[in-house]
Amino acid sequence: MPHSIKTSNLSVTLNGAQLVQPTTLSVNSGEAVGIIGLNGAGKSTLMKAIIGLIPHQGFSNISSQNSEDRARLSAWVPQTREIVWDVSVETLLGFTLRNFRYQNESNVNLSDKINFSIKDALLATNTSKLSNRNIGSLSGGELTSVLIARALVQQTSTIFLDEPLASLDPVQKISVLSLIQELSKTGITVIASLHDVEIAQSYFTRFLGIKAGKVVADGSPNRLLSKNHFKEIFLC
Amino acid sequence: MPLDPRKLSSFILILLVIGSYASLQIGHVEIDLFAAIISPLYGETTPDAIILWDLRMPRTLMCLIVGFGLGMAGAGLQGFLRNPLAEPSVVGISSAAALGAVLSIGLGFSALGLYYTPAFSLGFAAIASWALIKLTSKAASKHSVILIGVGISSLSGAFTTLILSLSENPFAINEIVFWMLGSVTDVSYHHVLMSAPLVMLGSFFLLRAANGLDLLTLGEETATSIGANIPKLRRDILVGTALTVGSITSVVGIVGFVGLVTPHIVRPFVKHEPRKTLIWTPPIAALLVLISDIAIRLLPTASEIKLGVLTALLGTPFFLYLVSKQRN
Repeated sequence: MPHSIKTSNLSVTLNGAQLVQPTTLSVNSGEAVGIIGLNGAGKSTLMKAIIGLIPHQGFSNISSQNSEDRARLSAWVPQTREIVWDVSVETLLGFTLRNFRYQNESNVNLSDKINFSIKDALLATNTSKLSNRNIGSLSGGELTSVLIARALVQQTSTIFLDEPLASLDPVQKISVLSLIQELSKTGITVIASLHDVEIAQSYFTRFLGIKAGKVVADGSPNRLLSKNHFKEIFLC
Repeated sequence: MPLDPRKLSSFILILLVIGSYASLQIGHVEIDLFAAIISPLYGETTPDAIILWDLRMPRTLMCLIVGFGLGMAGAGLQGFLRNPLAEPSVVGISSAAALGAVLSIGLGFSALGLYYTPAFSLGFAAIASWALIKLTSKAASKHSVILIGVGISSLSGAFTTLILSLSENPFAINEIVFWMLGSVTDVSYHHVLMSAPLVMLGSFFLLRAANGLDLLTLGEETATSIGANIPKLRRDILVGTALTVGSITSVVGIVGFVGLVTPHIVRPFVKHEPRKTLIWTPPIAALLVLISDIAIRLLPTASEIKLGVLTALLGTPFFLYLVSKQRN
């Protein structure tokens, strides 16, 4: 199986502090990887370094590309889900399509293509009924699903999600987790930083445990939530 | 209620033509507009022609330039800072530009050449824009943008008042007050020609940022992940704002709130898209300034109230309304 993510000695240093220790990692396509660990352990920082959102040392097969190719390889769903302008769901997805995927295409049938891609992404995230709603009227769970749909229109092989379950109620959490699982079953590699390890475990194929910027455990969710590994990841 | 762009643009164009006609026609003296317009063709110099060509025409053109530039800068700043409260005068760029103008007068540079005052204004507007963007890039909350703007505004205001209080020359004091109030009463073609190219250049930079503003709706991180070049976007907004606000303020003084109010009027018509807001705000803002200036001439006041005073009187309640709406 091809690797969709590969890093070697990837590390992040900010103002002299090493936020991510040299990390060598490979993730196969179609895996659903949850990154778990305490607040400030470096979960988000590791993901941002892999896709080149922040300066880092070492190698990552995504961040080593130019910015356009990065955007073809990986899509990002941020933790801050605040959209200031009250645009419609359709419009929000259109921004990415118009400025990234179809930016070099002529106007012939462009709006058809855009509408088609939007419909596709909304269908895949079970949010078709939201297409004409304004962002401001969505619930936290709906907004998260829409932002995942936003990532899907990039048609990348990998999607990174920063704390996708943060500030969602239990029902919303389950629906976002099911969505993540469905995506990984279609062959998309999903990487997500997580706090809700127990609720999430059955939806992921692999967990990475991070402590103080270092990957201290790597394996099946079941194994990492066993007493020994759990202590290693979450206790100082 | 999004509208067809072609219909929208013809509608706005018609309104601008009507507005310009009204602006040329309405005033303290009634003139025969048509006769005045064609009189230069016959080499005549009638009083009507002088009123039209030397007084009203530059004023009308200046109103259009002021509205266009300030509207563009306001929509650009709101889009880039992702803050519906941002605007050149609210975030202190206008008062910094006015400080630049006042300083060039206070230090005697304005007497040396015509371009010293605009140059000072542009420079100070650029410093204020830079400081705003630099300081807000690290700030966490939406309200901090406005707080930082208040800081920049207060500092510029304090220096302006300092120069005012140290100035012994009554003529200079008069000039300084003029810049703090904002007025199109005494503009000439010279002012129009000085500001128009700079406003156009600034608009070019701001319009270059239009697509980036759409992506920035998703947040800086996500925009970067799709390939948006945030540093370039920041530079375009900074240079564009400094050029438009600096050149306009150096000629007419502080005219506030035009750039705040207009994007809010435009947004419902363009589905709240930042790029379209940026494109449609300038002509609407030009129209609003034109109407405000006509209103000033129609108001039965002993002496004309200043344009900047009127826009502030109308704009500040709107600003407060927006702030109160944000809290909820």
